[in-house]
Amino acid sequence: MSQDAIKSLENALAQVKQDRRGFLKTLLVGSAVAAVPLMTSEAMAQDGGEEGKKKKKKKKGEGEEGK
Amino acid sequence: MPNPIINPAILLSPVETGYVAYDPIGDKLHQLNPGAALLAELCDGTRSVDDLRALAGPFMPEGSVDAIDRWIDDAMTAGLLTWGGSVSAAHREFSADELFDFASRLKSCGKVQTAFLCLQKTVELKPDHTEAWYKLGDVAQSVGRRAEARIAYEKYLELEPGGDAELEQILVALRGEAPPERAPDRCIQQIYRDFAWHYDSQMREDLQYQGPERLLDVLMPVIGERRDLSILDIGCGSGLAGVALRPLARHLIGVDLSPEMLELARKRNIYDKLEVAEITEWLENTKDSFDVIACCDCLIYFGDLGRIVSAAGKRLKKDGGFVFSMERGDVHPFKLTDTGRYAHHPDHVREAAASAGLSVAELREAFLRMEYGVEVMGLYAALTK
Repeated sequence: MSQDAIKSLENALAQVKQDRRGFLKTLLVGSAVAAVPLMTSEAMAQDGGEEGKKKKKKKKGEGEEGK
Repeated sequence: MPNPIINPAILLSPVETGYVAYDPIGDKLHQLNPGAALLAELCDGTRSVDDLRALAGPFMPEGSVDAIDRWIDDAMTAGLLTWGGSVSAAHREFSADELFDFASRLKSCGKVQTAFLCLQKTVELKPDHTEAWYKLGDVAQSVGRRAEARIAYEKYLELEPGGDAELEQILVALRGEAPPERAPDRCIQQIYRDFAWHYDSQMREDLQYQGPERLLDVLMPVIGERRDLSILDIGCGSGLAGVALRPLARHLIGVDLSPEMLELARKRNIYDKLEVAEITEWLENTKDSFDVIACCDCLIYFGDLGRIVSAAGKRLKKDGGFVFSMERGDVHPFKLTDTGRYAHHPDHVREAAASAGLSVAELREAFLRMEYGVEVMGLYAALTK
């Protein structure tokens, strides 16, 4: 990110809550691509399949997440 | 024209990749990259789209200013933004407990990467949240973040000292320390005290465990047409292997360290005798001899196989067979994995057999079960006297 871009970013960051400025600046300064706003949206499913399943203890009443 | 504003129903949290947002009405998860997170912060109802373009446009890469309009359109369609009034309104953020519950739900939905991010934030918001540290370690392992898993488990044990023997074993692996000869008794007992009640369903249905069937594949060539055998099932657990062994047995004994698992085995009513004991000691103290000694998915808690193979070899009758399964490893002789279990190199099986004066009748690689959605390969061995 160029010096001009960083100045513009700091100007925008000055408009947000103070406790977020440092956090967002760290994420944004390192990569110009990160500044291009993008989002993903997805429905929360009930069962996400195999990704987190492993041979693991699960206490009674803990639900399904220990799989 | 009203200004864009974050939908007041939305819960937001900063995470290391940007923001995570949850819409409880639409039951939808949104993930915002850093640029979108900044725009979300700016969308507090006081700024028009023109204001947003003027603020964010100058630091965007050349030619990407249209991305602001596109993102606003997308966020409106997804329900993250709405056209609000002209007064400032702060969006709502997750509390630590809300975020923990949300992360638990994400994990159960299979969204482990996002769960990891949310748990990281949970412990940042509430550093004494013991359950969150535990779950963060667990999820960090799921997503391959070993260093974060180690730190999280260490923090959990700091808050709950002496509270988890299994974690202590896992930490040995995560720290890269020299592994103990085998998992401590209290570790195994703890695992199966918590695991027993859902062991069969998790292993058979969720993880497609095939240990007993594949073990039978290496046993049958050893026993040929012989039946009415005296069979010892060491580490018999809930008796899954016993079900496969019973039709071959005149007398079937089961030995296991976990009383809870043995209780399940007892309910099957297939064993002639069941004993709670550590299997190496039991083998070294018994005077009985057996046609077959079977050990299904139990040597995963043993590192060096020398002592157990030797002890089993001494209790085999002539032409008897010691059959067992384990996780196949690439490190010789064995490796303590991040699960707290051991994986063995095939050459170590051959060496242990040779030391015990046994012959390797079968040593094959085959599917054992699933873990984290991928196949775990097992080693199935038949050693004969």
